[in-house]
Amino acid sequence: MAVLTGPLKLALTIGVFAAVFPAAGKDVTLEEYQVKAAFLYNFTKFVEWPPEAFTQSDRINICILGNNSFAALVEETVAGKEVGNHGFNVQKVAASTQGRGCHILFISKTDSKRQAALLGDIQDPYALAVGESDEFLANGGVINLTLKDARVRIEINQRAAVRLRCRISSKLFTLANAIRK
Amino acid sequence: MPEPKRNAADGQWTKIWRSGKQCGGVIVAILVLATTLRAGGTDPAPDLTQLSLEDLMRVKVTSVSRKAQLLTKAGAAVFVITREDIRRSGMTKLPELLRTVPGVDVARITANSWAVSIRGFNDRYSTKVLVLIDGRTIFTQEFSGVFWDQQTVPLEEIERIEVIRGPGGTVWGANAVNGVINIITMKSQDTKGALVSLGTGSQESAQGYARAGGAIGEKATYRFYGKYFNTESSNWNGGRSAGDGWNGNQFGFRTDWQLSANDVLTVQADAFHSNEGQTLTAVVPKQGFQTLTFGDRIEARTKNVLAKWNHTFANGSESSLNVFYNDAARVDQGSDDQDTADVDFQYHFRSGERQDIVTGFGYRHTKLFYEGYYSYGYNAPSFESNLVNGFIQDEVTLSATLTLTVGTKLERNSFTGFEYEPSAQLVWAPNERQSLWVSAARAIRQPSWFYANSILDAASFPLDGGGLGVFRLLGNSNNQAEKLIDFEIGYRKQIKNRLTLDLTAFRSYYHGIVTSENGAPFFELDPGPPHLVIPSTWENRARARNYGAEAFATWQATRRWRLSPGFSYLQMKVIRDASSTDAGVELVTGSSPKYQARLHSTIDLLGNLEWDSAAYYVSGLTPSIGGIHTDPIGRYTRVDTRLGWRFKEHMEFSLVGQNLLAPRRLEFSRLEQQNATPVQRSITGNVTWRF
Repeated sequence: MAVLTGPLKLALTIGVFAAVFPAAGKDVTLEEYQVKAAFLYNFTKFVEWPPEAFTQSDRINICILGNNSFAALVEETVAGKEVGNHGFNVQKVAASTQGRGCHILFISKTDSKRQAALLGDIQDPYALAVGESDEFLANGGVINLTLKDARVRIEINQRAAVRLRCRISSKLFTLANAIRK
Repeated sequence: MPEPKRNAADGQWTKIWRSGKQCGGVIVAILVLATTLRAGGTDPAPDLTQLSLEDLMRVKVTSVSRKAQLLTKAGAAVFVITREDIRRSGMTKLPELLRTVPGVDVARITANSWAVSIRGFNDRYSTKVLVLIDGRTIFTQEFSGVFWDQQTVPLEEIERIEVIRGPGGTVWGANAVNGVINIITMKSQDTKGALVSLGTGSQESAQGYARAGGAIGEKATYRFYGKYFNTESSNWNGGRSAGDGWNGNQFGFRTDWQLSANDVLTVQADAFHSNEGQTLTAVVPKQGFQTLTFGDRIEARTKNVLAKWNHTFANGSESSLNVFYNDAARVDQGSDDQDTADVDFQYHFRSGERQDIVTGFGYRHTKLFYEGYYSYGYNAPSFESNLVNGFIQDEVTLSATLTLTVGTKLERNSFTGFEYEPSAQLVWAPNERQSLWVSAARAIRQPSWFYANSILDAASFPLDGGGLGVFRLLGNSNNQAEKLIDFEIGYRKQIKNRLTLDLTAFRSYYHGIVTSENGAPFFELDPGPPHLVIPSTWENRARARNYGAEAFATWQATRRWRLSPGFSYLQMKVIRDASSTDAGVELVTGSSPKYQARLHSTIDLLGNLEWDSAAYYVSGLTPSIGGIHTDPIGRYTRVDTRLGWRFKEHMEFSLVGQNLLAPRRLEFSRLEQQNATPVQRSITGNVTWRF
């Protein structure tokens, strides 16, 4: 059983470490989608929708396509929050976004295959399309969330942004890695 | 032989989708249950809405918990293990890791050899499962199987492993008969910085892995790595060494280069060297054809280089050119050197609104040199073989909920000439949470040099009237491909983000199964002493009718606790033709378990502690060699557990106990030449730094 002494020593060392630094793990990396949910919330501070965008409801309507657990997370993130006197409403959307009055429309990676069709389908001139896949901007999306060096980065399709009937703050453009299309 | 597919070694879900399509018509749509699975690990969740956008962009995120939870639209039985699954498995060797995949039958033979199969016919020299690493087939043409000890791809570099149960010949080609195991390593973009991992334990006495990665300018990234391991020999009861200890090292690099907005070039290479022990029981012609049991060495040296060029066209279609060269040299009952060069091209495009087509062609050249030491050799010192293939597969959207995928592979190999491997899959997905699919496919396993050209003195025995008899297995250049016609049905359902179910049933008809048919005995004088040879040649005179079912589920019991049960059932029946004298072929069914079950539990404890456990049940084996039963393997349950602790993001400690229920146990019986050794209870400690 002599071979066990090495590992046992190691186990002991680990045990001691665990005992000495029990709370050391507080500073953890965050879940990608927690951070992405916070991004969605933050975007609403940089976008000014015209008053007619709030004819259906006073709330900022965030629509999530293709990832229901993310919708739940966004709901949790924006619960009770207000931006510019607007509360929030989060909707899970299965297919068409027409007539839903989305202010932000998030198309998940899982829907990337039909995202070109989904993006072409958007009739709402106020809907800020946010995605998370390689071809999202090329397919006509406005803001893409990418992962670089384990951090979330934003890319903006300027041409698509200009076409929207809402104003996007220039600060967002400077923060983003703006891509002209 | 199989061909490598561009297998989207880039960790993007969109790419999984595409590569999935290339996995035998599998359309893989993945529902990412991002936070429900591991939200517990980030307790207490800080209020990120207080952060500015600038701050948010500085926050480091982990995406490791993205779990391929439900492959809703796949028209085949697919299971994916992710980087996080690998990290939490506590496994250190690739074949052991495959144990965690439901429906894969892994039996450890010795510390350095494994029998791995899917849906039966398990053996060290299993021939019916195709295995690829980044699109490079790791088959040896010698016996159409895998030397698992030579596959030491660092588990730390694997992005995911896609396992398809059932045939994948239409896209993957010959030998993808019972399944495909597709191992995909991380892109170098995802391995920037340095990582060092060290471990020690009672069996895995030393393990070290280090890698460094970074960027060259804005367009290219790279990583290089080295690893070393030393595995202790197993012990028999009483402490006698089983002589199967081994060690090895491997080095490699990968670069990914964004040539333009539409072109990516990947170049990667690895070199591996090992020294291994084994115990053989073999007929030794040089010593008067005595059957001797003796300790022997294995030494393996492999090198490979692979280049892949992906191009995306303006209309969204894509092409991929994949080229690899593989050199595998092995000293194991002889000296064996096999070189493989392979070119493969694929083109993926949409036609109209409803059709998604992938087509391609490939060429492979393989050369083998072999010099036998004991009783195993070939009728020529070297062989060459070619494989030319083309395939097309069309995925037709019939309606919003119905998809039909049809296609075929056509190939020409040096052994049996022209072969075809068609398949059809129909998927009905009424919504994203459930799907029902049916499939039918034909697949083939082409002959290997072993079946075509080998000479093996399998047994020697005293004759009744005095004198010596030698039983000799002879290759047959007319050996035909084994063929499978397979029918499957499957159902998947996700219930409220907490529970996913995946059910599959299959019925498989094999024909042309290889048998050994005795010929007329003759006397041989040289080498002496004079002996009577009973020759037996490889023919294709048996068929098999198998059926079975596989079920698995993932249940997020609480925020912090996930349970994944799995179950598989296999009923095999091999029937020899009336013209066959090979009674033994009907007994091969005893080498695969009828029932297998597993239960995985992953728990996120407080303070970044993880406690993961797995139990595996195998219903036992009744193995045989040449029609004679060897020692049976009784049913057994294996229990592994792992305690992991993450210290900030830089360090991780883990303690792993394996085979906890018994001090030692055999998982497989002895083979024709090789003796099996016991698996032992073991403990391993590991520490990983990232910086």
